[in-house]
Amino acid sequence: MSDHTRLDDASTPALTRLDSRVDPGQLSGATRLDGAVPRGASAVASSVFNLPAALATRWRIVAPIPAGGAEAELFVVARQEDGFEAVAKIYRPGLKPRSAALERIETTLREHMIPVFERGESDGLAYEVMEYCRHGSLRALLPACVGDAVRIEALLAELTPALETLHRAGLIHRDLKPENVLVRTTAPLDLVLADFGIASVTEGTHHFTSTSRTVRYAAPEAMTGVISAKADCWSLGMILFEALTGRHPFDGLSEAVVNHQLVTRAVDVSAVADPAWRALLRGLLLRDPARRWGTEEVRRWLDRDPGFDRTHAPAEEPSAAPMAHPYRIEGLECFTAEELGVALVRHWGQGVRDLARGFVANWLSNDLRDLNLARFIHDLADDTNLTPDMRLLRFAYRVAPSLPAAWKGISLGDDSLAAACRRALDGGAAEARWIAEVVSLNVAAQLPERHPDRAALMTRIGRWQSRARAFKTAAHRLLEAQQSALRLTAEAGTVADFDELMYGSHQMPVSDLPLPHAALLAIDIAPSAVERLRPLVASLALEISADCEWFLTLGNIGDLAPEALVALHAASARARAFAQRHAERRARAAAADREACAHLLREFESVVHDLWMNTFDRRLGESTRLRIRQMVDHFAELHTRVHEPAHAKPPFDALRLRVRKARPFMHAVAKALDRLDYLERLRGAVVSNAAPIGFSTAVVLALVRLPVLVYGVLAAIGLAVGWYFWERQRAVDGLVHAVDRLPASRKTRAAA
Amino acid sequence: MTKAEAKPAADALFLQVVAITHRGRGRDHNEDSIGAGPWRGPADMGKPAVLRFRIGRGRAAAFVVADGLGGHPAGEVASQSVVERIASRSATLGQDLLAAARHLTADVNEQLYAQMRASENLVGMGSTVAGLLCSSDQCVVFNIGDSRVYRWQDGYLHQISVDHVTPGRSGVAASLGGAPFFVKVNAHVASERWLLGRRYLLCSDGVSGVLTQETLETCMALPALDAVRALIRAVRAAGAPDDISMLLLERTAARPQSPAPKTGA
Repeated sequence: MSDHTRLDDASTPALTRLDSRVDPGQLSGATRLDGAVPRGASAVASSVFNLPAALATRWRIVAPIPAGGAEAELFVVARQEDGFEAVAKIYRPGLKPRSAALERIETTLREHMIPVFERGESDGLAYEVMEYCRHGSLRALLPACVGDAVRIEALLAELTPALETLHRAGLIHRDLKPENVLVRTTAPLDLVLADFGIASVTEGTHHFTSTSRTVRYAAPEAMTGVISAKADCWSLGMILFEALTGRHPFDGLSEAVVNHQLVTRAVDVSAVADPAWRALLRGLLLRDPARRWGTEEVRRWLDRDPGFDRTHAPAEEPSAAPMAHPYRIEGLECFTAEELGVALVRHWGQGVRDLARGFVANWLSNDLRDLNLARFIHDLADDTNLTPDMRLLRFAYRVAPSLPAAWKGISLGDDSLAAACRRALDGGAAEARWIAEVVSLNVAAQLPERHPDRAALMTRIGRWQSRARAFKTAAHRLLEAQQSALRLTAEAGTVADFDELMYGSHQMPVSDLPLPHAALLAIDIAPSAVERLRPLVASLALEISADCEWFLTLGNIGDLAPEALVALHAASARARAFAQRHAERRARAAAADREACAHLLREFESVVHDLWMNTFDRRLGESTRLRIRQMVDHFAELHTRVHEPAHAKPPFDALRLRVRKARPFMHAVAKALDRLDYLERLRGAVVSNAAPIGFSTAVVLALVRLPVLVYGVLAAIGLAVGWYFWERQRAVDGLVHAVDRLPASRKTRAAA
Repeated sequence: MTKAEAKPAADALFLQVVAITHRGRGRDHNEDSIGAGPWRGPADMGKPAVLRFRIGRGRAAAFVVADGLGGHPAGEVASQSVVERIASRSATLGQDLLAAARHLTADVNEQLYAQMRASENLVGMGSTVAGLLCSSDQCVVFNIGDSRVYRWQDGYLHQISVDHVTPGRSGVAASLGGAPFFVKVNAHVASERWLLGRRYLLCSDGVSGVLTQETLETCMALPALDAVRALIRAVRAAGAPDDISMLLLERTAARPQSPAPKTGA
């Protein structure tokens, strides 16, 4: 082991920070091309930077990898002939990989290293072309592993041989962390190490290791610069801890506090439930490198060596607590204000209570004796514009400025925001409320000025605000369309309940429209979640288009801007209610029409029926004729009613047709009736006037013995009577014939 | 005209105080006493009283809860005497309330011992005190013993008083009187900013010692009078082993006209 131990000239190279603002997760994740490389930037990149001549003939730049470090530029390149993609690393002028050490590593570690296709020097620049790992680094894979013991064991089984080989060759990686483990394939898992031995392989500071957070994976002894191969085992332990619990034990702590914890306290592995894994972690995270488990123990643990107790690891020697009364919150012990800030954020609800109840201030002034901080809390309480939650946020970032941005204990990172958006869009009320608070309270503005996440969040919320404006415009148009639709229905003569339809009595002012915060935020960070709304809205539009035309007023749903889509989605409940009411109203009108139609039909049939009944007796006396006359008049009235504009609708068509068909016959009936009346009148006139004259004439003629004339007169009378009966019969026949031919249902006919 | 008077002082302070003192279950008399400004609570109140105050410029008032020490003679005499003396000096507190609070407690302590010297069967009597002095632009809370002052804001109660108790031992570590011979006391005194929306709860340990912080906060979320009623109910439900005394002080924007008390937003 002694040959592994060496003293570095740079005492704490692992802690070297070039740019503390860069989050290593994002940086190296992007370096490893998690598919997020902006392709559009390639034109710019190639114009600014050209590949060295030796490469330029065979490769072209596809995209720069924006994490350009101090030591090299990275590009995704494609082979000219077949488009095969790789990564080109172009060292800055004057920098060269120290080839002897590198070759040594390469020969020993070929299996576990990222394959380098070629290496050389051209135009005074050293370069390497290596494999392009599309899956990115282990960092991207970790969230999927959380709690999955099988996958984590596979991960361990991949990393252990790499470390074994490395250590057998007398080499130490020194900077093992998820960002430095690249994923070649996920199934089966194939991991390779990148970024070897900070000082031993390259000159200058390696950019992958140039951020402060590396300290989170560095063994305690790394601070001294005297390290052994066991340092890598500590890092392995930290990676496993993160994979098992989903969080890093030093999340949110600054470098100084991490170092303080490393020196004063053992890492608490109680969060891991499984005894074997807990023992492994305890073994790997022992602060004393001499007692710490090495690859040998890990190998036996992995192989389930029967002579090896997998569930037992040497315990950390208890160290004296630096403080009599640490602040205890949910099982955590805090010795510094910064730790307390992190713990309060982690247990937000309890944190808010403790802060508001003065427990935190009391501990700060009585136990920590930090009166400035206690006064800070006092001043926060005096600021009545703040809510208890905002006070905790202010306090936490005051004492733990390196905490990643979070609200109510939930990270404000892109992934977390996107996940919250998705859940809120799926109906999660708690997430929706959380997002609404984040944007409406403008949580970003509460973060300290220099917080690394602040600027990005501010822009995010700024973009959200402009989206909210676009949403309001669209929602306003929808509301207007809805209101004018209501006016139209009101004018159409039906009763429209404005108040009810508009959801609550008043026309809602646009400024009071509830903003769908989650959806608006999702446009930015989870566009797919918003796009999912499109088919939903489209199918709704299809469903209700007949009853709710205003829903289509924004245009074709396929082409809508996301804000308008969200506005539609927000209005969909309203639209559905509107359409439902509209459909109900339509159904009611149709029912009323059917009713009216049936009523008219019944009237019509009764007219026909009565005609039949009344023409049964062919004498057609005075009263019968009067009744028939009334029926004819009734029919005329029916005819007018059926042809009213209000009844110019399909349900009335059949009726109208029948009435229309009946009309000529009714006409014939009326004519025959007229004829009969005429005949009756004539008969009456003749009987009352002509008959006495005729008879007296006949008597006179009989007296003067002019029998011929008498016969002539009698014959004339006989002729007239005959003509009358003949004419009458004809009229009656015509009438009965017309009635017979009236279109009437079979039932009526049968009844007749 | 002094410099302090030349400064534009805040306008009058309008207060609403809900007060109750009541003997605990199974006790024959109430050893607690309460006072608000010139008002002194009767020995045993059936239901809470609602008092309204207007504290004009340059005026000040004292609000106190005193809990006579159990296991000592004449607890009720001690607590009444404390409240009476503080109430009688309520009008003459002066400009510096912090100093006034210290003087007041020291004086009351001395007077208690003077009383004991005058009457043999009072020797050893003592009382805790939790109080709040306020003028139109200042507010000071003080306490001796385990009677408490809470600040209520945004739904949470923050204990501002510091209990004078020794961990692991029953009884109080400091009190007004309470010893056969003269003992000086140092009251815990703290300055407060009485912002709109903040309420102060002064109570004896018959309330704070019986209820959990959560129960207290749940009750305090109600409008003032209802809050006090809820607190009394909660204490009774918990058995009311000790006398119940409390003052709930609330700032109102102006003299309230309607009978319904305005609660802190």
